Amino acid sequence: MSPRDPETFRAAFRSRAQTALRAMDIDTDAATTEEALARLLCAAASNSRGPEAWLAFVALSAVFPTATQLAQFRRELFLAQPDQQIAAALRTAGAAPGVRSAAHRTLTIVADRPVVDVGHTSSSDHNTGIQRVVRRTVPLWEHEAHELVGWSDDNAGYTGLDHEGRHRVLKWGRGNVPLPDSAAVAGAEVLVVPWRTTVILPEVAMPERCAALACLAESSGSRVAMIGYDAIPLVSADLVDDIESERFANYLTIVKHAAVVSAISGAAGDEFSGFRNAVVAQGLPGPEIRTVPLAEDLGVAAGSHEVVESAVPVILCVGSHEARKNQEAVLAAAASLFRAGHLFKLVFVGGGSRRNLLHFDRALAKLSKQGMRVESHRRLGDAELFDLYAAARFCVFVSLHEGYGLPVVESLSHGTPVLTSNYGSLAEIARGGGCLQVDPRSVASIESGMRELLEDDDVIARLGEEISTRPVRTWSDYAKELWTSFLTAPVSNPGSPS
Amino acid sequence: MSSTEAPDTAAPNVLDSWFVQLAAPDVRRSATGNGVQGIVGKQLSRIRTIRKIADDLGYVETGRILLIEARKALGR
Repeated sequence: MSPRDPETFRAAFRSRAQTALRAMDIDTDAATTEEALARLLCAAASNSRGPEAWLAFVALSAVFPTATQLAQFRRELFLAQPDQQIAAALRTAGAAPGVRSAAHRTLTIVADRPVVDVGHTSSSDHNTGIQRVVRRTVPLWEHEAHELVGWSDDNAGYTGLDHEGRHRVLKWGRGNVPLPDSAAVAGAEVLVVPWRTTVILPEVAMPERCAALACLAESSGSRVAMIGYDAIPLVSADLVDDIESERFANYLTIVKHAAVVSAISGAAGDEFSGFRNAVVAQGLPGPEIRTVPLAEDLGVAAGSHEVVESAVPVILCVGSHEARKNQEAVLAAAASLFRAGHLFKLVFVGGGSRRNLLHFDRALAKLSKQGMRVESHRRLGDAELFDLYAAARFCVFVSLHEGYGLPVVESLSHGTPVLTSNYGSLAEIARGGGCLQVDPRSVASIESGMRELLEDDDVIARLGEEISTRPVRTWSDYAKELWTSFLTAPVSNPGSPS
Repeated sequence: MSSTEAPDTAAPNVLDSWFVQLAAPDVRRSATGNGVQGIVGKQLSRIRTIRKIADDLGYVETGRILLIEARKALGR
């Protein structure tokens, strides 16, 4: 960490100002620190909606601004007489939260290639849906020029990735990587600043970064392109925790100003199109919505895993325990089949909060006591899960709302038929073959589907045949289409490059 | 005014003051003993306990964010 003294901060600021001026093609020769700042502020004030103000704010504060902060900065510059502009800037950008911890940083501008924000995946060992998409897709862009970035520890803005961060994104699963050293992350002293380029958001932004990203999308001169996973926290707010809906509403402030959203399914595309139509009321064009369906190739060859022998047919139900995943309806349907004399073993895989699991666990314990073969695994490694997929007669995934439905594709990758929902993204996957569709809101419909798959070997054989002839959509296909989708969208944001 | 003009000749004092202000110790950090620092320490301890509970309940990300935000708020 650099020493905290005025001269260090002056030198860092001078460097930032000169870097920003060069990016704006403004002469920096022989300019003193004060002159450099004055030139920056003139550029910022000269265009009331242009991206120069955003870059000037970043150069001054070393922090990516929020829309509120940038608006205040613009207003103060608008009102200030020329000889008062510096004081006005220091009252606003110079006093923004986070300036003290960021004041030693310098900038590097990225203008000639897209910037890819992998801030969460590069700093986390989570490997659920979104992280898996990022880890399968981003490495396949190796031949496309781009800059991978994460976030500084204080969320001031983008920084380059350290070795561990790159490993987590580009080489996941190839050897163990230690958890990030927070001291090392905090020592990242160069902010990476996108300028008149494309910023790609393959993740769902963390809540604490949404305001700065929304401002970047609206005012930085860079166009933002993002993967749209789903709008479940709003559309199905009744099925998720309140905090998730609140977070998602903040996330939508980025979407509002994005240039393009590439949805992972047609159903997800419909959700984001609905939001795009809503922002028209605000006088905004909203993003272009495109559908680029996820890959179905999960890198698992059917039959490559050990088939665990079971005396009775295994029914597998994979997914975290939350209301919309509908496990309790599956349990009720299975209980009815058990009472009717059907023999099977039902295996649930997936974690969940204590609150979500409480009622489920009680119901499961009760059925187990009555003699029904039922298990629930909270955490399983990929290898054990894949063995279960291979061993199952069929899988049940009757979620009430999904952006895509990874467990369905995982099951199909193992050649195992799936009982799934008859609408939305799950129906989209089912149309490719290998699935029986039911109404997930009806326990009777789920029970009927489960009974058919338990009793009828011909149906299982037919679905197995369909699986074997499904067209394989690879991660390479997905990565290529996604890149094209991101970089060919029309520019529609104010201040975006022409 | 063109963007290359540099009109603000009276600025150095303002700018110098800003650099000095940035380098000044954070008052929230300078308190010692059982004053602000002690209170901050107790608050952090409580927050770490909450984080552990959040982790146990499966809200790993929530716990992590909670601790980061709390540290920022408390000047640590």
